[in-house]
Amino acid sequence: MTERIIGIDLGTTNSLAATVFDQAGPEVIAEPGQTPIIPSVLTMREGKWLVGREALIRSLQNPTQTLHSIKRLMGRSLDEIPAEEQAQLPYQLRSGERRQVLICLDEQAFTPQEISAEILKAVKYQAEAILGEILQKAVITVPAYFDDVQRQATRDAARLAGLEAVRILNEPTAAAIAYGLDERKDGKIAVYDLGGGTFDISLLQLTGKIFKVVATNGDTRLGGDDFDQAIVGELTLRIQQEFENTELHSPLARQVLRQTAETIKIGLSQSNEIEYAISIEDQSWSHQGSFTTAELQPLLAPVIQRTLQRCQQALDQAGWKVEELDEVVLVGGSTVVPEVRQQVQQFFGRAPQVAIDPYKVVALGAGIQGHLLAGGRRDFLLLDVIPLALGIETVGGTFSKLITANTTVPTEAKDLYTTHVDNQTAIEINIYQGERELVRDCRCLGRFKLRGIPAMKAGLPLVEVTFRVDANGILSVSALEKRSQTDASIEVIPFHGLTQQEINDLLEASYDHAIEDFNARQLIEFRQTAERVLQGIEMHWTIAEKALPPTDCAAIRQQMEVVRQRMEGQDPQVLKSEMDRLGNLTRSLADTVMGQAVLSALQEQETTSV
Amino acid sequence: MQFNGLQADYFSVFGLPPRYDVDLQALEQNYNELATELHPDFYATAPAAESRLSEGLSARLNQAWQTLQDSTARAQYLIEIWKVQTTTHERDLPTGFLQEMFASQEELEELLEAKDQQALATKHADFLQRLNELQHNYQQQLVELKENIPDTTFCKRIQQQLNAERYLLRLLERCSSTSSETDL
Repeated sequence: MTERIIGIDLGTTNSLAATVFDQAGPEVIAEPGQTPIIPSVLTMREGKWLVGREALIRSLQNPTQTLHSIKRLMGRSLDEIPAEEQAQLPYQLRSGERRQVLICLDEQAFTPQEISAEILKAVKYQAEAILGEILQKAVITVPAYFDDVQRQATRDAARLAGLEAVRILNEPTAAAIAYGLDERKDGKIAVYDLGGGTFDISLLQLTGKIFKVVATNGDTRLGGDDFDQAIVGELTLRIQQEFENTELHSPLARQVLRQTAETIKIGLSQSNEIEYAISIEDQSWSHQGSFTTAELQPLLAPVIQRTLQRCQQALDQAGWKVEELDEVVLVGGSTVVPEVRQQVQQFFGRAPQVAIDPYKVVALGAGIQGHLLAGGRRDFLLLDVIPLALGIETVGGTFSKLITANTTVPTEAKDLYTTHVDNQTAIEINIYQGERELVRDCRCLGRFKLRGIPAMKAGLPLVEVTFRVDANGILSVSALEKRSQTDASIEVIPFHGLTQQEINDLLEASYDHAIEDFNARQLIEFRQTAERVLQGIEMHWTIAEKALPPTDCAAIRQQMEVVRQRMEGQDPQVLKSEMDRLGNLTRSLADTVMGQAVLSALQEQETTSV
Repeated sequence: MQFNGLQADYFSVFGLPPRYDVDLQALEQNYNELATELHPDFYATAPAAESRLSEGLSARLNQAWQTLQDSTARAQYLIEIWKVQTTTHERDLPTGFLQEMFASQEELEELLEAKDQQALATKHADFLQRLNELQHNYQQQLVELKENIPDTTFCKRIQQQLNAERYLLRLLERCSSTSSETDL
């Protein structure tokens, strides 16, 4: 096998990594006895990012400075995010170049890609420290219903984190791999994936070594966050009933309500009733109450209903009946909610499969796919689909589909274009993605400008444009003028996302992060060397005891202990200098060992030459 | 990576004769084998040229498979490779079809307006039955053709029916649009 490719589940609420170990098979990457999960929450402290649990703990102290649910903003523009959703966020948004959404923090503004990159870095560093390897490649999962722009944004985030996203993998498909390889049964399976902010339903046909996605459907803005919001709405009503004119829109109030809602949701997964108390610093009131599952049910029902509509659509698209399914798999943190399980069970008419931890199953599948991509195995093949149709704008603003939804990828479509005026040398094409009839209801992916068309009479040039969708579900376009057989050059003007130049600028600007990177890598390297040196000394200790005076032996022992302690630390330079000191102390031992080695080598040579 | 027949028609990609009735099971099995051979997942660490080639070949293979396994796309594709000059416009429909649809369609719009779910369901069933008749009709004609290459009139007739099929599918979509319409 070549370089390791880990799997990363970059989630709305939580992120984690997994990989395949030669002996143990697929496993999440975690310190023994610790959770592999890094909350997808960030804050800034003294100009440096703080990611994960630490940021989560601080979120009540500085709510406006705490970033969460960034995945919901990936690849979107500000005007695509409903005002009510914006109002629910404790942090401020504004519009950047090309209408790209920016997240404000202190005096600065960041793209969702930059912030997701920080989460990916945290996952990467943790995995590097545990595996003791430098990691550069990953399979990163996204909701199956992510469009081209959202997928590209994810890939760009990886680049900014110093990772090559070898594959952008659909989350429900990743889960299907983890389950399918475990069971190895042919049949039809449905993967119901309800995460923090996104919902996917994927239908797969398993035949031998082939995992074929037949249909996928979903909503990239539907998830556990919506459960929390529904509960927040109810809490707001209760508080305002008790204390009229209470101001609950401050960032702190929103953060407190959100966390209370989450606690209630989680609490009611285990019992039928939960008590809660809410008070907000700098406000005089305090409110107490209780929540029962019966009260929760009507709040969750509308959200769950929306997911089940999507399930029905996917079944229709596949031409499958619910009874034909052999298995229903639950994925995503929000599927631990009993009401979700119950409704899903009722809809599909069978008890859903939950054998693998729904928090880990996506990362595990991604890790297995990474193992396959790295050349570690060839015993399964994943055939995935494009979730939404791709096409161009034609007369009257209608959307003309070139590649339909649920087409197996990679795929391509060709279309012919010509000029409307004599000697016209450029043509512009607007590309859209979506499922609606009119382009104004679809997403514009960008404008493609074909240049270098030979000057001819109008209507004479025949430009064949090839739209290729790769295995990541990402589009690329090429063009050929058929009469002259010349490649037309294509300039892509993205309507969203980052340009190549912007990515390069960001990478350059993160020079200080490069130093951080460098330190992390050095630390791993020095720890590995230290480990080797310590083992080497232990191996030759009997020689040392014979060859060196007891005081020297004691000094070496003591210094070995110091090195061991520094290995636990975080500073590579300190570890390095202690190792140098150990090196000095053991120089005479090394000479002795070398002498022994030379001697025994010579003896060996003598015996063999006889 | 050996894969001949890429420039050839979709049927020969799978070693099948160019005729409408296809052994779907054989097609599927053949596709699975070729996909396992060509998929870019197995060339992720290969030199760039090789992985690009695998991507291109897989794209073509997927298109070929997707076209042939779908009964409508397969009919449309056959008309294409027969290269018969059909001047048939997309709006060209079988004689009497539009007149037949006109009344039904008006009724549908009224039902949609009134949001009469039950009547809409009946309407949906009617359209579905009409669709099945239509499909059965042209499929029968294509099957009987075997490997012969038909004349222009035949192709034109099939094309008209394919257009009518698309028309009906749009009507069917409209019937269910009120019950499942959600913003994408």
